[in-house]
Amino acid sequence: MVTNSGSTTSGASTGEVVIETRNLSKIYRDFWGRQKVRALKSLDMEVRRGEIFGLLGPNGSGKSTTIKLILGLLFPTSGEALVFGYDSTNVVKNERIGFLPEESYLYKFLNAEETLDFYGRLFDMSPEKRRQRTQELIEMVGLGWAKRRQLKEYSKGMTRRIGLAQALINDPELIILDEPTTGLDPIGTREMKDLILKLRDEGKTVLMCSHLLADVQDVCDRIAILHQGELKEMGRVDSLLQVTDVTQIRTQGLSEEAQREIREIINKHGGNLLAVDNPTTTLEDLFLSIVKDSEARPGRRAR
Amino acid sequence: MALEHPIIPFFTWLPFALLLFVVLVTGIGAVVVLGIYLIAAVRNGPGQAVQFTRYVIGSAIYDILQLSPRRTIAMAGLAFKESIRRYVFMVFLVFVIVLFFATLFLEGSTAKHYIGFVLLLSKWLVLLVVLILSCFSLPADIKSRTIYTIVTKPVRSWEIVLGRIVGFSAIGTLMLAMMCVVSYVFVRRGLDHQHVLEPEDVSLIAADDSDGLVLRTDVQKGHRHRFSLTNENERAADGDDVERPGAASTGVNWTEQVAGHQHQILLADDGTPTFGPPIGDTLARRPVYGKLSFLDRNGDPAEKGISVGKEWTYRGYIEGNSLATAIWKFDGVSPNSFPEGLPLEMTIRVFRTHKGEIEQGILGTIVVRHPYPERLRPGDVVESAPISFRADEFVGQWLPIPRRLKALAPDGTTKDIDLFNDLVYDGEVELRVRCVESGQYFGMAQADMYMRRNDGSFFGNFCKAFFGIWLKMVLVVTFSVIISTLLNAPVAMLATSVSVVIGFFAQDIQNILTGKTEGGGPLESTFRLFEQQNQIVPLGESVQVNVAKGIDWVVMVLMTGVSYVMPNFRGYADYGGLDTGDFLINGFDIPMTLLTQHFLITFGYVVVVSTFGYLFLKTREIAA
Repeated sequence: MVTNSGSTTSGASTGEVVIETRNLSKIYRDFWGRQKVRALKSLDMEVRRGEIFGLLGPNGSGKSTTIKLILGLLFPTSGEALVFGYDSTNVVKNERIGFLPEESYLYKFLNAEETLDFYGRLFDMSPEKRRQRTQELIEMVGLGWAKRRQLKEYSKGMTRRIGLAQALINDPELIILDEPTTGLDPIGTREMKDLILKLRDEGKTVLMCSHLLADVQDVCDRIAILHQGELKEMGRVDSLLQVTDVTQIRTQGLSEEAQREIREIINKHGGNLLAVDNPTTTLEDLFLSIVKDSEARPGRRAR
Repeated sequence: MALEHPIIPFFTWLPFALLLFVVLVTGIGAVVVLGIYLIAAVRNGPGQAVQFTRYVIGSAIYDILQLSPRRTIAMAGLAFKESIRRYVFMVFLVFVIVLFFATLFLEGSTAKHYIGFVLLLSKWLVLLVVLILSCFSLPADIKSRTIYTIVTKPVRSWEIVLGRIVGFSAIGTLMLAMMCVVSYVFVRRGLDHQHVLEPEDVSLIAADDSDGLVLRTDVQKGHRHRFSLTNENERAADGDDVERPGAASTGVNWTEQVAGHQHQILLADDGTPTFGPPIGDTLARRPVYGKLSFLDRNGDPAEKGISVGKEWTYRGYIEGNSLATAIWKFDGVSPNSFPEGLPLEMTIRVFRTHKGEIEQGILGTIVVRHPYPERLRPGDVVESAPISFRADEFVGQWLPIPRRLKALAPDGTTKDIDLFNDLVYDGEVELRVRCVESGQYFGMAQADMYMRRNDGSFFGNFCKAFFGIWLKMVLVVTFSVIISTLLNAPVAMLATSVSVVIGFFAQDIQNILTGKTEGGGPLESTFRLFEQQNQIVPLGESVQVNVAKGIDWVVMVLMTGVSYVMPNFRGYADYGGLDTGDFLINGFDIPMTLLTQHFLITFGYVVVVSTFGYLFLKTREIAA
């Protein structure tokens, strides 16, 4: 029996494209229009409905720029980013998006209820719906006990939670999470990852970027690895972590002799072959090797 | 009160204003579209520039159609809460403390000082607060990246801009409302006082020989009033049955006017005079103005009065003891509008070529005259007998023309005539003023004589003056918010302040550039300041001077350009000038037509400037 190791995923690979970037490039310029840095180079990427897509890369790799371009916070120098088929600068797309920024940039002078009520108003939600949604989300992120406290009194973890709640106020189809587990303790991190998986199970699409590779490995269906503004790798996590040039054979009930002979021809000896597959590496190893390779051979795709 | 130009009736003003607005908006719109295209062309090439320009214009229209009141109010509420939770109302506390100390140095001042002070304090405090609030808010959101959570929601740039304008304007409104009420109470309490008879004069009353004597009140609020108990200053004398506005009843005695007010004299049973509250310093007169023309010293029509050498040519002067006459023609005069006669009030300036009786006003006459004598039948009365008056300078002089008048018959006798039946024709009537004393001059402008209809409420007028401040506050908020979409907070504050200052001195800047006023640009002025040269001393010809003048010219052209764009924050006399405080200070009701015009001007600015704010925000990379 031959099996694939790795997590099972939804049928996202064949789903509707939610985010699409075509030749997306971004050059930062100074006041006089001179090029300062080429932050993103010709990125072609698709995120499909119902999947959790991770953007990985070291600092300055262009992953934040990509998210900002997708959200319309930056304008592409060339190429385009489409979200639900709309240009990324079109406000209409925001109706179906929830965004958790890296630092939970919220208004510190509001309390949790006021925060969610305010963001609910921005979605033109009725007062009843806002009230109901506010209570649901406050309970969901476990801040019921602190809902009347101004956010300036919140710890970092609490701020992340209320930040997540505001991202979900409109029950979005696409959730964009920038470093979602930053600032959370191990329990909070686990809860956040569980929540991301739950959102995926509810049919929502998640685009996240993170430095925490273990988190990405745990939850993402597909990832893209960026380095120096270039796409270095993209694919399913389980596929990417396969070591394709190594074959791993695991057997059971073979005699000593058979075990000796198996190095020559396995099948001839009638052993019960349990699996023949490729061993997996960790995402951290993969990531580091890609970065190393990219630095050695700039401008080339890793594989 | 000086009104250099008559106030244009609203419906005369409106078509002109609308046309100007449409022309300006079209022109500005064309420049903006061209600007967007050029910027896009430089960045992305001409092909994409067309597409980008179409996209921006299309988005602007689409977004305004999609504008959601709920989202706008949410943004406004956020700005409001932000201000409240940053303890903005501490400024109100500062206001109250300043008022508290102001009582120390305003004690004994006139109503003009009290009102002028509270208007000035309220205006600059509120403008400063909203300037700081609205300049710092958006840049702070952008800097702290809180704006990310806003613009990633379905919020239109219009809503971000308008929400902030509405929110900070609401804060300013609340503060102004509180300041208005507190200021009113402060002015009322500061001016309120009660006189009694000067103790030294009590014996004169007791001796029952007070008739004909000039008596005095005691000193209150740093002043006293003289008065007489004879009928000499009784306004109802000589057949005067025109009710004095503000008086409790007709036929009463009044003290002389000091510090802008008088007191009604009420006699107790024992003949002791008591005094009513101050009247005349907190008025809201509603004047009906006539049209002024002049006759020269030979009695021939003249374009204007003669100049007595004053730089301000607002008033024309007529020579005493000559045929020089100032003629006011009023229309709309009817028994229905003025049943008791003509409630005339005037403020005449006097130019003395010799001292004369310095304690006494200069003698003058008023004649009520039929406006079209040529249409009269022989024997009809052309004009009334002259009504004498002594000109009180610098104060509004109450000179009611009674309905029953005397006229000189051709045979030299006098006869009784009726103002409306004999001298008013089709609602029109003329009033002719002459100076009687030789070598003295009366100076008059059109707004110096008017008929006083029923006064408005002083509190209402107070609120109107604060409404004028409110309009300025809204403009400062609008400019601050819009400029802060483009620049960081300190620079935005500086830019807004400079714009407001240019708006404040718009007329002066334009006058300097067009040569109406002597003066130079910043470099020339600085040079003259240090060299202690006045403005008309020639600077001479040298390369340095020419270079400096060249730089000055460029700066002045730029400043003049801005001055034409900015709203006029000063001067009620100009049609667009938004300051109506002088009406209140001088005791005149602020005309609703003026307020309506100012409101529409402000609204026009908010619309146009907000559009710029939308474009700035829409085309700005928030995360750059």
